[in-house]
Amino acid sequence: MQCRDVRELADSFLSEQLLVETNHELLRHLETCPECRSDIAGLRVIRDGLRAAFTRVENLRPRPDFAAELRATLRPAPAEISRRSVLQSWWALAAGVVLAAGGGVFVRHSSSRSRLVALAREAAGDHQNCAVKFNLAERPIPLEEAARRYGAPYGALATFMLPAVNDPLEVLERHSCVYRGRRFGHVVFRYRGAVTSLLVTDGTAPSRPELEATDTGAVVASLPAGRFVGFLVGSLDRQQILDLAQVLAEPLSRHLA
Amino acid sequence: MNADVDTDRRWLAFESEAMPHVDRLFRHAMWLVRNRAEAEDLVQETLVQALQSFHRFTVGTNCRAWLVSILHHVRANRQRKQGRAPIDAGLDERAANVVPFVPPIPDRLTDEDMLLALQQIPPHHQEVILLCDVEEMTYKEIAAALEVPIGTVMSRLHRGRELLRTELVRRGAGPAILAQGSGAP
Repeated sequence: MQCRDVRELADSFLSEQLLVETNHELLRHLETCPECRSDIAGLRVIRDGLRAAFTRVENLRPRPDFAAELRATLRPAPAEISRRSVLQSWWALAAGVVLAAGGGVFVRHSSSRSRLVALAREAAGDHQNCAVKFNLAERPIPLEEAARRYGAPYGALATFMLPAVNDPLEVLERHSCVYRGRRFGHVVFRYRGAVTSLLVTDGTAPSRPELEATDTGAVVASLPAGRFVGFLVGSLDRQQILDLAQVLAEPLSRHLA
Repeated sequence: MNADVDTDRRWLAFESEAMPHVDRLFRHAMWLVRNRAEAEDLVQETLVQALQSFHRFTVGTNCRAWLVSILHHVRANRQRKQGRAPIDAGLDERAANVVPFVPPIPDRLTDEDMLLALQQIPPHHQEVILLCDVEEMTYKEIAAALEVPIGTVMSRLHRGRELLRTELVRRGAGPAILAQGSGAP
C-alpha cells in the first residue's frame, strides 16, 4: 500500500469501515511510514476532540428535568389504561361479578402490577443512590421548589408529619430527587438504627401496603399515597417495613389527597 | 387486557432502550437548531415517533443511531413544511472540492476551538461529521438518516474533515505542529 492509498482510505480507517484485510494492509503501512502515522494521528485528535467537546460543552446540555418531563409525557397514562382495562377486560368483568356476589375476590390487573414492580425497583435504586450512597447524577431540590415546578403534592410532603410509632423516628432530610429520569418526593428518616426512605411518585398505588420483590437487597413496600404511589425502602426486615408501611399509609394518603 | 399489557411491555422496553439516549439526542438537536425550546420539541417529537414505531426496532442493534435517524427525518420534514429550502449541497461541495491541501493539525484544541471551527463549515458537512465522529454511526446508517447514497456520505465526510482541519488552523487553535507529509511515494 502506498501513501496515496492511505490518504484515500484514511477516513474509512478512522471510522472503522474498512474490511479486515484492507485494515491490516493499512496498519502495516503505518508501521513503516511516520508521515502517514502522523496524518492519521492528526485526524484522530480532531475526531476525539470533537467527540469530547460535544459531551462536555454546557450550552448543549439539556435541562436537568428534561428527561423526567419527557418520560412523564411519553409514558402511557396509568389511570386511562386502568379505566380502559376495566371496561375491556373479561377478567375484570368476572371479578366484578364475583365481588357483586359477595365473594370479595380481588383481581389485580397484571399491567398495574408490572408497572408497580418496575417503580419499586426505581424507588429502591433511588434510596440506595440518594439516601445511602449520595450518588445521584442530579442534585436534589427542596420540596417547596419541586411543588412550584411540578405540583402541590411535593409541597404537601414537606409538611407531612410521620406518625408516632413504638420506637423513635428521626427525620434526616426531605427533598425531591431524580433517579433514572423519575422524580420522587423523598423523606429520609432513621428508624431502629436504619436509614429508611419514604418515596412518593406518579403512579397507580396498590389499595393497601404490600411488600414488593426487587433484586437490590433493600426491602421495599408499596403503599397508597393519595393520587400517587408511595414506597418505603430500607434495610429493616420485611415485617418491620410492612408494619411501618401500614402505619404510614392512611395518614399519608389523607395528607396527599 | 392484552392490549394494555402490550402497551406496558412496549413502554418498559422503550424506556430501557431509548430513554438513556435523551441527553445525547438533545445535544445533537441543540447543535442542529441552536434553540433550546426548538431542540426540546424536536427531541420530544422524535421520541413520540420512535415509541409509535418501536415494534420496528430490532433489540440489540444501535438504538442511538435509530433515534438520530428519526430525529433527522423529523427535522427535514419540519424544514419542508416551513418552506425552508433544503440545503443546496452542490454549491458547498463544489467549493469544498477546491480545498488545496491537507494543512497541519494544531496540537492543542479546546472544546470551543472544536465547536467554533465546526460551525464554520457547511451544514451538510457538519451533519456527516457529527453522525460519524460523534454519534459513531456507520456509513450505511448515516446514508439512511440523511437519505443520500453512501458515496455522498464518504465524500462529504472527507471534505468535511479537510475543511474542519483547515478551519482549526485558520483559527490558530494552538501552535501548529508537525507539518504533514503531502509528498506521496
